[in-house]
Amino acid sequence: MEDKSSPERSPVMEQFIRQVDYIKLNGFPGLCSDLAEITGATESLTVWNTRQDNGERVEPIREGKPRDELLIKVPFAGTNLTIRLLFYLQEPWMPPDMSFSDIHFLSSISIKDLEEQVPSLNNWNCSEDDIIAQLLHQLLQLYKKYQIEKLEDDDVLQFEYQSLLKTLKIGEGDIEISVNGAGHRASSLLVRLPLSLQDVPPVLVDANPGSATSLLQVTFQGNEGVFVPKLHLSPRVELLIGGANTLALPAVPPGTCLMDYVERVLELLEEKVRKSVLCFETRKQFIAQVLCLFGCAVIEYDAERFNKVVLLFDVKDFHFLTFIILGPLFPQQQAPKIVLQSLYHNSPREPYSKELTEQRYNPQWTPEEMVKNIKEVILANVSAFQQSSIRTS
Amino acid sequence: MVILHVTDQLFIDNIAPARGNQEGWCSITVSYTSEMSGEDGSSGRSSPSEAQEATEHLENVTIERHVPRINCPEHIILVVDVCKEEGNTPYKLADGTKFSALYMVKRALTLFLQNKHAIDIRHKFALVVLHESPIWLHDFTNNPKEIISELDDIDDALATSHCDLSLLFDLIAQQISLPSCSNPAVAPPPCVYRTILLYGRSQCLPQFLEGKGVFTHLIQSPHFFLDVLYMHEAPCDDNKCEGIFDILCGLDESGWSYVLEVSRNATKLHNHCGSLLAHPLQRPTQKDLRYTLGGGD
Repeated sequence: MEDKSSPERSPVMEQFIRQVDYIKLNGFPGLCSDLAEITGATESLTVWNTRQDNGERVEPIREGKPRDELLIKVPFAGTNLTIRLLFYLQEPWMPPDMSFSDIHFLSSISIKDLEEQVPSLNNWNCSEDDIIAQLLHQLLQLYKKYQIEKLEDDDVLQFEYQSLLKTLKIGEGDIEISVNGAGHRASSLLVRLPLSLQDVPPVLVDANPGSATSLLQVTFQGNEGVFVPKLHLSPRVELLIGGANTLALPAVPPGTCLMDYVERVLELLEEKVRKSVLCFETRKQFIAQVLCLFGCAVIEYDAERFNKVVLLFDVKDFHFLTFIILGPLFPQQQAPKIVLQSLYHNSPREPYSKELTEQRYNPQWTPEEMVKNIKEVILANVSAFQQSSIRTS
Repeated sequence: MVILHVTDQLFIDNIAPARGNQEGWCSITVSYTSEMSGEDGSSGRSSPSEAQEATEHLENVTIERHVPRINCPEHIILVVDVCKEEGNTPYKLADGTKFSALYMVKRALTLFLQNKHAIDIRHKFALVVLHESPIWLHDFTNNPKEIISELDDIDDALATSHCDLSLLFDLIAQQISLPSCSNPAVAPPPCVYRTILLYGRSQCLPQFLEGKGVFTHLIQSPHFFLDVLYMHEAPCDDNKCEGIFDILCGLDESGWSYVLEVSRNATKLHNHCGSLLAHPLQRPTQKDLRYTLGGGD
């Protein structure tokens, strides 16, 4: 993006770069802003010729040679809206020219709309770092309003939209809807589900700062109310309940009511969150029980996620380490993993170790019963471990 | 004459049974956190008898933790004494094979490093060799193979007439950067430092020849720990094992150190290295250690 006529960037260019960086740092508008992209800027004139469906060429808004353009791809309601901003850096006080991938939107905008809904165009303060970000935000709001107005021509979709707002008790800022007329691309909507991670222990999500967002995208097919769902989860949520693509969404048989379906998905996610928290609490109780019984033999334990505890035991003067590891499926589907490890023998480059795989296990046991069982398993296997560690070294 | 300042932070660890060796001899130590008068001078030295005097007047107090029990990464400084004294005896195994003391230390440390790495790959290790003056042989690494490789290349050396602990702790203080937490009782530190001193001489009393200032500064940090593993000849009238052990016990000023000793018993040496695997923020005090796993527990 550098001005080739001089080796250093001009103040105008510096300001422009700051404004672009501001957007990248503070986020794009829209529900799915993580996936937004901004690219720019070519120095050659490229007039974006769009052909309307009737083959007529759309004239460029302005003649001349723009020095810098930005292409901003903003995900919206499961589709993309690309906004092209053409800046005239020789006249930085002028707001950019704009064009959009949705040409119908462009033709629907009136001067009055721009004056009222996109005030930054009239008050283009090129020295403000956030002016482009403000513009994008206002443009997206205008686009949203345009889509809501189109809803008036689609009673069914209008009804679904209002139902979602009411039943989920969410605001208009939590839904994006893209309405397309017959013969065009399908209508779709994106709804931010009110999934709260408020009661989740911070340690389970802190590795991924950022928002905890769960988005359900719904693409409608045909006029029969048939739809295809897709889930988007922010990294913070995925850390807790797994990747969006690993969660099996319920099937959508014909005739499924959208509202019911969305509620089911929300319940599914809430259940997953509850389960993750419960697993964490169970691990904590288990480790606490281990420490209660064997605190005087503790070597180290995971005091944040309670995934592991290492102990040192002495059975008839034979000392050995015991690793007890709790996997992600503990307790319901996975017993604690018990590994004995030698203090005396290598095999050959690591200490000799053996996992004790044959153990009774009942996920319904209390932590006390689980720990008692582990002790029995260890005692039953120590002698064999001792013998094989000597043989193998 | 050393003047001990008695403060609120005076701890006594009546650790006789835990610090006894097989022959049953034991020691009482005094730990103190106050500044000692003339600490920059020659009176920085303490002797076991003077320490013993003070204990008669004081009672046991509870040792409290002042740091959260979090398994943060450890930066472990292994200090290996390579001095080989005259009359140094080897380890003799059950099958009659003999191994030099240094060889046994290397083997035990190899297993220590491998096991510590298996517990948490974030732990780091540095290697110091103790001879005439301490040498920082390898900087912190979380790859145990690097330290093991350095250990393999170490040879023992002729014993020196003295062992200056001041130089050792000066070196350590230069190499590390103690975490500074605004509220150490609550905020988990990014890491803790632990020095494990493996001392192998039976004739030479370790001393602070240049004062204890740096040592005291280190040991006052809630994120610095010192453990000692003393490997010695069988105590007798011709050697100074008991006196040396008393001095080493005296290094435990917080009450949280492990001070372990062994005399040419290979199994016990490895067992002690097992005890030293324990994370200083989570392990019990030495006197509370109970490893026995019996059917009747």
